[in-house]
Amino acid sequence: MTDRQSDVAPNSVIEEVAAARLSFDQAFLAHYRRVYRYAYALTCDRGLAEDVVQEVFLRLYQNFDAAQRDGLLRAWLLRVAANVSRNMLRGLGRSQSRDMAFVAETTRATEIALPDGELAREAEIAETRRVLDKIKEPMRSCLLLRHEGLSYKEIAAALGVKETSVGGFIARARREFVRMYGKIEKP
Amino acid sequence: MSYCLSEEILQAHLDGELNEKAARRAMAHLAECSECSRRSAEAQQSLCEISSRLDDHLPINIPVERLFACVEDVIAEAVATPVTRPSPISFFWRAGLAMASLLLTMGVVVWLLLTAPKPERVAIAPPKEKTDGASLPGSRDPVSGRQPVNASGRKGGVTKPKSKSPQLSSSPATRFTPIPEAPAPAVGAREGDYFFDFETTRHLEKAQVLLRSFANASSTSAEDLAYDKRVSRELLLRNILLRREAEGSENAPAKSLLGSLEPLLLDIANLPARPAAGDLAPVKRRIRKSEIVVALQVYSTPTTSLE
Repeated sequence: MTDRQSDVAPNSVIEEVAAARLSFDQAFLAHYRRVYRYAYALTCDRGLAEDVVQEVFLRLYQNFDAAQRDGLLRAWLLRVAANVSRNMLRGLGRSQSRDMAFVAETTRATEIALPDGELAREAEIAETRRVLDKIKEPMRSCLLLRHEGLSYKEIAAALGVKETSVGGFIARARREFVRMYGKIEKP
Repeated sequence: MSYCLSEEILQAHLDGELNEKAARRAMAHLAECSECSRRSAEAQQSLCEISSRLDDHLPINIPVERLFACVEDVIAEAVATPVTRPSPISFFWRAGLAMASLLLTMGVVVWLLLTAPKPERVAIAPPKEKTDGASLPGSRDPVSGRQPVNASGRKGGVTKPKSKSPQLSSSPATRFTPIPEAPAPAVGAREGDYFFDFETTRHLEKAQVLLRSFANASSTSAEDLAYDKRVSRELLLRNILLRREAEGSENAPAKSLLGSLEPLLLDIANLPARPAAGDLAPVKRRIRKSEIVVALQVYSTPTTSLE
């Protein structure tokens, strides 16, 4: 699977790792992918997702011991990523324009002459993004984090919800996804 | 027959989050309940579809090298420029330093004010009479601000002690400003105030009192004249010493004033014991003509009585 293949860091990066910061760099290499994908799912913007990753790992560097205290480093990172993404969207005023950005990106993608298969795939991606935008929190995050492989305990820690409620949130998000996917909403 | 699985339990079972006992029970129920089995199959299928959609939606190619470099840059920048939060300690330190500097400044100012060399103001005796028209401005009693009144109420003239041994006047009305104990020689004060040291001003005051009383006395008895002569002799000796000191210290005003005072004191001291009527008039005339009483009054310091 391509995801798993890209989890392996390049040798050049590994060589650049200093011995003193090895544990931090190991944490980065182990979790940057999930943080980036989760931030992208929340922001729908690659640039913002990169900014979120930088901020999250800067905070990890500053609070490395505290982040690993409960053995829930992955949950800590994703919780910080959710907060940073929310703050960035609020600060930049992009929460209101997310739909417009989505429309513009979709339009730009469809303007390029693509084969029929690629067009269909782009349309599916756009539809997935639209449906994800419609699912409310914390159901959406529960679905996304479960998709990223987090346990219920980690999801509860990352989102600040009860562990027993995570299954219900995922089930509701799944139903909402199935209900809205492929259906044109009335304006 | 067990109860049908709830959405939460079914989802947790599909996600493998149930414990062993609950999972065994859920599997047993799914084996015998067609409805729950159908729901489970639908959920499993929808999860697969959603997972597939999400895999398509979420980015696969992540610029890890660029991300890592950016994170390193951000960390290096944060380490280089640590966040400086205003701590209360630094605030109190600043406030304390500001207060200390303020107090230090105030202390320096007060010290300068206290230690500044004050001009030795010679207290000028107010005129006791207007016989020679020498009413000097600024010669009021510094305490009361009024012209001092002679104890005897007599215009012009200082009350002479009836006895031959002079005593200090006990009447507060005759007392002017108290004489300072041992003032330093006046240096740097206004002209007219600081040319004479304490001894000189005291001497001038005595001489002024003597000349004034001698010149204004309408009828001079033998007793009074003998007293005047004795005082004049004493003042003459001191006058000579002070004049020499003034010459040595190149104090021209003091030397001039003492030099002009000396002949008058000499005249009074050399008067006969029983002078004729015409012997006193020329001396009195010279005293009035030279207006030395005015000059003495300016440069003299008030005193309580003659010794």
